[in-house]
Amino acid sequence: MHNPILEVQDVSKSFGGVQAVQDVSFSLVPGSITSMIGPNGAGKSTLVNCLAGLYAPTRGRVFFEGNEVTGSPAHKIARYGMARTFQLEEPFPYLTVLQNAMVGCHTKSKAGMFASSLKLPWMTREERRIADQAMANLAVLGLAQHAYDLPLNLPLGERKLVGIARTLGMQPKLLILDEPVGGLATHEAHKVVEVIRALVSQGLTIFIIEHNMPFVMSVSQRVIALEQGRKIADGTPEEVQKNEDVILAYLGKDEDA
Amino acid sequence: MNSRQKMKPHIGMLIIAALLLVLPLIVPNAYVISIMVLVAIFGVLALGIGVLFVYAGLFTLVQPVFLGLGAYTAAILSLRGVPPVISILAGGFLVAIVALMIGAPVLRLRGFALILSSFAILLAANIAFTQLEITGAANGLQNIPLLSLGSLTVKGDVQYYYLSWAFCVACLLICTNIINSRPGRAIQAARDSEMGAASLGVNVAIYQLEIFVITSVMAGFAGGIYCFYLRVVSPALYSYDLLISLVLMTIVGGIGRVWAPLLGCFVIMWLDELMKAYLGKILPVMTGNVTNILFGIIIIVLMIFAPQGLVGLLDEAKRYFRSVFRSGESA
Repeated sequence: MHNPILEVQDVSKSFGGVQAVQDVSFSLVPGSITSMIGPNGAGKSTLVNCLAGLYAPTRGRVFFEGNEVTGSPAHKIARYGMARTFQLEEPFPYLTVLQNAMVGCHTKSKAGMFASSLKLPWMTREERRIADQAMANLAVLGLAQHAYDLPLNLPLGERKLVGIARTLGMQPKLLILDEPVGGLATHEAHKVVEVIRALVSQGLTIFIIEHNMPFVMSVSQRVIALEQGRKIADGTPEEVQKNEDVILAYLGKDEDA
Repeated sequence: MNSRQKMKPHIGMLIIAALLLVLPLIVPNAYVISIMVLVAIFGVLALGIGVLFVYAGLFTLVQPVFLGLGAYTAAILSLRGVPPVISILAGGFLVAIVALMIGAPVLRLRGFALILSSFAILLAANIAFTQLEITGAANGLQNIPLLSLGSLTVKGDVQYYYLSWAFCVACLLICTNIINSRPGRAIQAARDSEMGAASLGVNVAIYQLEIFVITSVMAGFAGGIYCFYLRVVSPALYSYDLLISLVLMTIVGGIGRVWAPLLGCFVIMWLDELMKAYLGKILPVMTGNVTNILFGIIIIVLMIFAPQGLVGLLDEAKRYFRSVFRSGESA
């Protein structure tokens, strides 16, 4: 058994009187694909925001590679190697796809205002290196031909891939995908599955938030179910699919019968 | 982006640079040169506003304060015997500190809160400039010594023309380089989505503060040059009239190029001068009002027909001529 790459201990988050997440605990094994399911409003995105540093949890602790990151700001957590995509946020719409991917290399480069304003030679070299790296990351996702397009001109499926491509520049250890196939056509979703498998084979750990059950069941090794902010199931896809609480949460109580 | 596309604007830039370089020789007219000095000085401010508005998405309205702070500091110090160059540098340094102090709290705000709070600072600074004894109150400061370094003295419109344009072009290069590199990308990413940028490791607050301070210091140095050029400073020069002109220049210049506000500055300054010169003959009584009304009409027309500003118009013209050329070649 490896040490977990991410360990979540009793994390809760409330907004005013609303308990969005309540005492959720789980840990992720390096190199695994884990999915989190749950109906709308179950607290999935809130939980991800707590992990990635956009929200500070009200209670509980988060450890990344054994180090506590609870309440650290998002940009610091990103530096540790935790990357995420967004459910609704698109790639930066007014930067080209290549520039999007280059922003992804932010943590792996260091030119600041001074070096950039004077175009120091090492900065120009670094810039070329980032551009090459970003281009390679785009190629991995089959986006090279769109490098100079604006994301707002791309179809949804490719915009989602740009969202993944820009995180690759960070060379993350853990990648959290917030609804990676939400709203995608079947062939686009297949492309995302391929990408996820390829990334895991390179040693990445993947944590997916998703509604699309066939996708979740086909790609995940482990599924966690959330309902009204609480964890109600945790196990293999088969186990979770048979779990009565999960069925109840998804289909509701059959009152007519 | 192939090499040809990359080279083209550079050729246009070289032509403009050459024109700027020889302008005092072709047009040895003190009036024209003096307006061009002001174009360069206000151009630096417009550039800064363009970077903040368009690239950083930060609608801060304090730029004239930093021009004023730079000018007053340089004036006050040089009147007390500090060498002029050192007093300009001191002005820039003071502006950097004040910009940090203003920026750290104010840049946490967004939207209307940012616009209004920065405007409040502009009004407060204007009251300070008009009331304080050290700034000469409403009279401002006069008899500012000549700008000199050792035995070198800058005087006359032509010398100030070269000084101010050298500074302006330096600021343009600095802004362009920043926008086209790592920190500039980070700033633009944060403009589009702060959460997205932060999740990629961008420390949004620091970058926004840095670009705010850099553009402010540019304005501060411009103020130093301005005060030695005019040899007076008066509070009316650094207030909302200037702010409105600067915003106008930025809008007219358009979005898509770092230098767009500079073009806007050139056009607005000369339009203003032309209207002053010719409208006075037609409508001698109400020149000022008519100028303002005409500027208003220009903005409305531009916003309707060219929301991308003059830069957008230039791009469209380029596309049009290219298509004309193509059809000419094929025929």
